[in-house]
Amino acid sequence: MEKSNKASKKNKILKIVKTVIFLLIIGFVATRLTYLFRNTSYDRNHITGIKTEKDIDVVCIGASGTFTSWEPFRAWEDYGITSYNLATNSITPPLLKSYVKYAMKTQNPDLYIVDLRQIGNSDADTMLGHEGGIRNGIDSLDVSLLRIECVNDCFDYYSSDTSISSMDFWSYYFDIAKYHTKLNSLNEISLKNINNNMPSTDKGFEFVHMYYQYLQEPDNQTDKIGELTNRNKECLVELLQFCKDSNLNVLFIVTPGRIAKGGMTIYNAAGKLVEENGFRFINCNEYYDEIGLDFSKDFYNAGHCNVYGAEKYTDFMAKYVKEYYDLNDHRGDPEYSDWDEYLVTAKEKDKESKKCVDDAVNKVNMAHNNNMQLKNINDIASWIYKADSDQNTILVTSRNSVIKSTYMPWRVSNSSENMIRIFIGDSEVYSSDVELDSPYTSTIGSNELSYTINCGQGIVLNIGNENYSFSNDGTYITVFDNNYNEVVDIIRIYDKDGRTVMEHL
Amino acid sequence: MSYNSIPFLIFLGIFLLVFFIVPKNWAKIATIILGNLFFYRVVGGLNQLAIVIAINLVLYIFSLIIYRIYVRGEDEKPIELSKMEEVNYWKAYKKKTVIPSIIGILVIVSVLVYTKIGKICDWPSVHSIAELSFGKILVPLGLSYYTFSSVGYLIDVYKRRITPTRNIFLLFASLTFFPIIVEGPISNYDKLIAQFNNIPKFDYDRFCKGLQRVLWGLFKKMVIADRISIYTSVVFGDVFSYAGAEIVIAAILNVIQIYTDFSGCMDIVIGVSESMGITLEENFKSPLLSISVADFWRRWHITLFEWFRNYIYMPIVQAKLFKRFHKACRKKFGDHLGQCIALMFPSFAVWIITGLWHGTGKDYIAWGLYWATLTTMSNILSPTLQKINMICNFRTESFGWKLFRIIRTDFFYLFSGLIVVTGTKHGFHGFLYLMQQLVAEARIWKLFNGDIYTYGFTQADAEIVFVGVLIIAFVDYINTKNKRVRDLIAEQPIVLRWTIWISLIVVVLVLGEYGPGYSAAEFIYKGF
Repeated sequence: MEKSNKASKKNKILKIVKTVIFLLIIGFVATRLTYLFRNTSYDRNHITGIKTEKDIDVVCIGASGTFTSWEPFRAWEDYGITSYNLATNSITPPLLKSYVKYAMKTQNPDLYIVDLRQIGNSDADTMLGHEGGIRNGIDSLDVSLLRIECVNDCFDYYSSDTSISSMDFWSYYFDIAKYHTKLNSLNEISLKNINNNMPSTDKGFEFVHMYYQYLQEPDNQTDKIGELTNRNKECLVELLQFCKDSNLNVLFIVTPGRIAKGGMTIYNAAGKLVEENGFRFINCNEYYDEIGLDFSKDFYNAGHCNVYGAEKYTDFMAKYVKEYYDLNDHRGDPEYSDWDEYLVTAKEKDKESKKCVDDAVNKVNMAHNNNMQLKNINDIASWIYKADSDQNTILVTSRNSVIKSTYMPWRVSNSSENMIRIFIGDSEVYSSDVELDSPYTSTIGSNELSYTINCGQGIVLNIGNENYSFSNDGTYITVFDNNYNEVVDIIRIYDKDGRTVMEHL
Repeated sequence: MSYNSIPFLIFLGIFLLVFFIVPKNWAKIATIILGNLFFYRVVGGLNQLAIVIAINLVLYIFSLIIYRIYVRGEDEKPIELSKMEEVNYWKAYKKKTVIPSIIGILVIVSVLVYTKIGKICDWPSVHSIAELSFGKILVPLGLSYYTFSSVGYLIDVYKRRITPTRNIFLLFASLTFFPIIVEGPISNYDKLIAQFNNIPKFDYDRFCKGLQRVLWGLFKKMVIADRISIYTSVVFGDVFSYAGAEIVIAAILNVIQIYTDFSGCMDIVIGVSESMGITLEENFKSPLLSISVADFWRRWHITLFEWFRNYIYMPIVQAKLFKRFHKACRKKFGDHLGQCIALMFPSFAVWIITGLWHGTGKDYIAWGLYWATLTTMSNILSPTLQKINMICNFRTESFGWKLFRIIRTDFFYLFSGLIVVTGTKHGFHGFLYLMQQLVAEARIWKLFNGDIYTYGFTQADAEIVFVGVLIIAFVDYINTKNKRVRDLIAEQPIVLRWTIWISLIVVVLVLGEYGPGYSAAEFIYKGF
């Protein structure tokens, strides 16, 4: 009897052990499948990469403004600081706390630099609208309780958004539901990500050289304190409380960009709250001169620095943190020799990136010089040849006339800032930007000036504060310099006595 | 919360955990009721539950009224009665139960009839009882399934086949039992209540087998049925725009889709119940491997056709009037033909009701008539066909002959699907037009030039379906040999069997049609 009891007990234990092992295998396989099918991107590498780093002094947390501005190699070169950008595109405020927690799992840094750029997000933002930004973050995190907490935080933040379907909702928790359809796009990189620990080649930094935009420094300085929306305020308060409770050294910042005055008042409010909680706050947009930012060269768009801007920002910020925080200089320490190796390759990349930016700057300047000459050209073909640049927006309008194909040899690229739009009478017959909702109103140029074309009785073109009225006869071609945000030239082409005539307005 | 959704799997996990943790039988029943209420609230809406509760009360009250009459009969029964006297004695009591039985059945059926009439009259449907008024219909979740089961229960009490329960909670637990309420099987409440009265303890092997069956059901539904629906929904959505060859492919895939969808759901339902220690009736027995029409309907949606046989067909056949008619037919047309002609009437009645159960349009009546004609003709021609086989010396036991019969039976089912596709809803004219489309617009080359892969259903999908169907056919074939594949797997070494189950999980996770981007198709038999 006792023997059979023992056997039964043994049998039970064996079954429990088998069940546990089976469940563990299922868990392991499902997790690996999840990692395998997830997107492979630099965003993901920024998240996974920090796990492979050792002894990071400074962790910079934020969105694209962070990973395009803080250069870990420069901070190392100048001050011997080891740093890492734990940042992903379009981060949403509740993710900031999660990223701090995530960094704490693998690192014990002396300082966190948290970028509050996104704290000014509008309450009208929806989860669906920000899906990309949210998924960049949460779908790069390991399958863990932290990830679940992170998803919960996001749903709390967007609790007023009721547009999420049940399947969408659950796919945030079980992201394989979202990505399992990518079977055909799996590749070698997907396999490398199967353990979700792919390193980041540049310590979370991205060399931005692909784009360049000519900007003008904004008039945005103000002491006015605006108001954080309730959900953003709650998020920030929770983050501050967590940092205090965890006894963390945190510097809150706002990375440089072309911020409007209204935005600055929000950051002033955030700064006040941060300082009231005993942390330092620097809105870099108050220090354009001190940083030395040149808007005509240092940005690739209104929100992000290019490599020139990043260099200046890192110099400024690294100097600041070295001065105000107790950070060790590890240069010369053999344990950190890999940083010296990294420095060599990073500087090479930096050099190449700068060359690309220089080329882009030259291109813009050349286009501007060409544009300056347009007013002096009176031959249609030569004029079109000069005006045809992807730095310009071309607006062709005609009330009654047929637009001749000879006027249309444009090669302007398909992008919202370099486009060609053709209107005949009340209808738009061509647009190089197919994503525009309304054919008659949109924005152009780096300053995003609004423009309207009214094709009623006569054609009226409004760009910013300028109004242009066109007669009913002939074809009008307006050339707008996207970088310098100005109308460069407008010509009218019409037939007179059997020949085509062109005149400048 | 569909049976193949993440929320259901989470709900099921929590439910089973609580179900096995609570020690007493009454607590397990309470857990079932709470689980049922939660499930019904999420899937159907709690306000629709009022109809279920009302039917439950009617069923409970009338079953006990009928039962009390019989109890009184038992009490008043004289001690010494001959067999004949006893039969007559009970006949008198049975007569007393007729009125409560009819009232009970009418009340229970009235909701279903009302919704069917509403559908025929195209009344607007509402989502809650509060919005309900005459001229509007509410279709509560699982209405026809629990109506049929309830009617069956009441008739069984009336016929003294069963003793009704006095425990209203047990009846409620059966009526709302969440695994069966959406798509059946149409259960025998008496058997279910008997099992609820004595829920077995947790059994590891049974639990595993139940979950294995759930997994198999998920494979059928998510990997095969929902994948096929990408193609069939496009083609059948605008059937006259497509070539005959494309429609034929859609018709073939439609058969596989309906089978894998419905039987997949049954696997999930029966698997969930099995893991709890509750045995449900099987609803499918490899029907696509049937060798005749009669055989097919014995193996397809078994509980529905058993219900029709027990509560519609048999009462007609056993009626005195029918027996007289039967006799007259045999006298006039001979034994075989007379019997076939007489049986046409109950057969047509059952098939037309079956058609109306599936849908309320004329196309579904035509569908019912099609099957009624087919089964009748099959009966009438059976001796003739046997003679032809003998004359031609066909080897009827050969594999080839069996295969021919299987394909022929499946073709009949396939063809019935064409009767109810969109387009033929316009009547006979629409059906003829579809037939013309199949022949005159065959455009067979469309099958080979890649056009059929341009409607969202890719070549990879086709390959997955092909391999999946082979696997399902293999499993079904083994099942016809009275063996269970999962039992065979259970006999294998641990590494092999774990590999099989883990592979199946991976296949469902990776190849299943779910998640954002897919509008997860509802189970086809939900909503009846």
